[in-house]
Amino acid sequence: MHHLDAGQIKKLKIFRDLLPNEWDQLYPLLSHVWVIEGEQMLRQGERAHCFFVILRGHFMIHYNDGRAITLNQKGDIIGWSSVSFPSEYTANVTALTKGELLCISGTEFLELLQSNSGLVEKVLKKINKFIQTRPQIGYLQ
Amino acid sequence: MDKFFYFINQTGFANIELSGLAMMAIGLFLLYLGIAKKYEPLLLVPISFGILLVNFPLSPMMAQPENGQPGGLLHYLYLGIELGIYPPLIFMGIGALTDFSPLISNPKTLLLGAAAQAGIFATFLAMLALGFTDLEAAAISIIGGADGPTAIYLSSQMAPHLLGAISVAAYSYMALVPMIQPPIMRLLTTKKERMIEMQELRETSKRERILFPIIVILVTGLFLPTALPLLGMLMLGNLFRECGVTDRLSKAAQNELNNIIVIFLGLTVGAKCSAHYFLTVETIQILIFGLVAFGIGTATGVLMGKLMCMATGGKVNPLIGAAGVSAVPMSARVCQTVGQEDNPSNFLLMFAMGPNVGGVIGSAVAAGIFLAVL
Amino acid sequence: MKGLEAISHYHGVSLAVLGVTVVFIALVVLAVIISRLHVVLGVWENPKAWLDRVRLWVFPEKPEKPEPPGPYFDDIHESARQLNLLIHAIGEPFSLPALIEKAEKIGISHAHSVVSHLIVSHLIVPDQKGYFYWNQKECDRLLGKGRGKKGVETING
Repeated sequence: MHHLDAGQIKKLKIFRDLLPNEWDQLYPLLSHVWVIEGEQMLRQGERAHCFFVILRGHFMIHYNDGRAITLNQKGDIIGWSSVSFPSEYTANVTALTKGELLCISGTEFLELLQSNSGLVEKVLKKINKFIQTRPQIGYLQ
Repeated sequence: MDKFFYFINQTGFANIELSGLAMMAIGLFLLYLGIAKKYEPLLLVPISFGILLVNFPLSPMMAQPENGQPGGLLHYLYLGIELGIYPPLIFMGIGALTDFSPLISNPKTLLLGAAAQAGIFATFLAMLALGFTDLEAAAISIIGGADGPTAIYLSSQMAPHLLGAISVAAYSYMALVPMIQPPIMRLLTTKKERMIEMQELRETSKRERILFPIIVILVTGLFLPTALPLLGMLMLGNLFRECGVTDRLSKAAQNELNNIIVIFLGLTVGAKCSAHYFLTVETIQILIFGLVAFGIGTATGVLMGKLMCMATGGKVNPLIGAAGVSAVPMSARVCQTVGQEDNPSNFLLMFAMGPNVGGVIGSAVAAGIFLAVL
Repeated sequence: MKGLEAISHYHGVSLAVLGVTVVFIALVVLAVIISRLHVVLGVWENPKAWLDRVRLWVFPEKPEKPEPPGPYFDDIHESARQLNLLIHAIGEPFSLPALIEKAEKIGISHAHSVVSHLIVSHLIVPDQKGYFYWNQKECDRLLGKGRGKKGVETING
């Protein structure tokens, strides 16, 4: 039940280079999430279960010490800690406006590792590239 | 009144033993680890529940049939382990689930899988020195292969009285890989070595992936026929996956069949953890030396990685040697995490999957050697 | 029987050496055969996936222009004025979550989307260290030109 169809989602940077069979494996893991203005989606220190890809909306990633960055580009990624060790969210995330995101369970995504490690690595590389282009404000990886 | 007292005497309360209570507490603790901490929950939850069920006072779950009365449920389910049925079927599911491309495109990583099995044989010697028989020592040392079904298969054939302790140790340490491996990996490698970025792996063709399981079974089956139950089923599952004409069988092997067998296996393994078998000095030795086997396997894998790094002029990151301990895919993820500590742009995941799945083959071969020789 | 005596009795050392040797030989033989497999099969590799990648490389898709997040106000001026006063009170550089919290306390409705609007309009800008400051130049430009004039954003709710 996606607001955007598969064709639109495939154009997102994170999914762009996937081969058809890789997409077939990943697509069932995607689910659609809507948030309202002011909603705190993630809490720092909480167990990281999903990562999100922004479809629409403006989001603030903020730390308990008051530092923050904001993301509003379609295809930006939030909550990547769910695919790393230790898997706890390293920041809080609050929606500044109402928004739409794709949610991917970190556990289910990593379960693909045994059956298609190439796919997992492709996506992780995209996530890594995205993180490195974000302003580095000294948070824990 | 007599009936009443008879009934009272048949309750669990009237027959409580301290050892049984202790085992139930252990079962509850393992259940906590499986559910709350998510340590290998698919196995630990049925195992811990099996421990609970069998350690209730007067539990009929594992009762032998006698006087024309049928035996307990778990007694019959346990036949799947006793007759060596469940572990090969699980291996079939693993084969159907596993993508061997990282290994096919970089077959020298099989050597890392081989090196990591050295922990098995080192522990074998240590267990002999502690006074275990050769069969018991072989069953215990296979924990170092970090392969649950292999450990269960070998111990059911060689030392069924140790099955409970060996299985609990094997699955617990597999879940603890992210804690056990990193210190050893950091100790044995330099920062420069950990930062090595490896060259992209080539794509593998469908024909290669179809021929791979056939070639593996031909080579290992001729070398070591005793490894056929495990390796044969592993490669059959993989062939289901790769040949493209048996998708239904592949899906059934990965999902329905695997899940059913995991339930039966877990329950019956737990059922072997009765107080009589589990609360012994041998269990403590198994738990300690299982950990030692893991550690030695990690160390020898990393050392082989360093050797390959030197031989290839720095093209192989030694960290991937730790993935030869075949806890798939956990140790590959650990290699990725440790590698990224020093070099955030280092992606070792795919490269580590090669020795990781190679280690599955290596541990099955090691088990086959014990079965052939002992 | 324990210790070296036990090891000797069960031929432990020879078994261990045999085991390691057999594992290595078996896996080396496998590795050699598999490493040559792709050479033998080379001419039969599937070209379809490669053609797909070339097609994507030759005809790359244009990136979409990012949509600004929907604001709730007809006019940015009032939002800018209220937040400007608050920011002057709390000082710069300021913490964005702290600003939002204070904005909510003093009764600015939809504080989150107001802040979002100001970030998108470059009135609030990051200092790349996790804090933010007010872009007075941009503010003067907007407030100085007033409503409805050229260059001032007027957004329908």
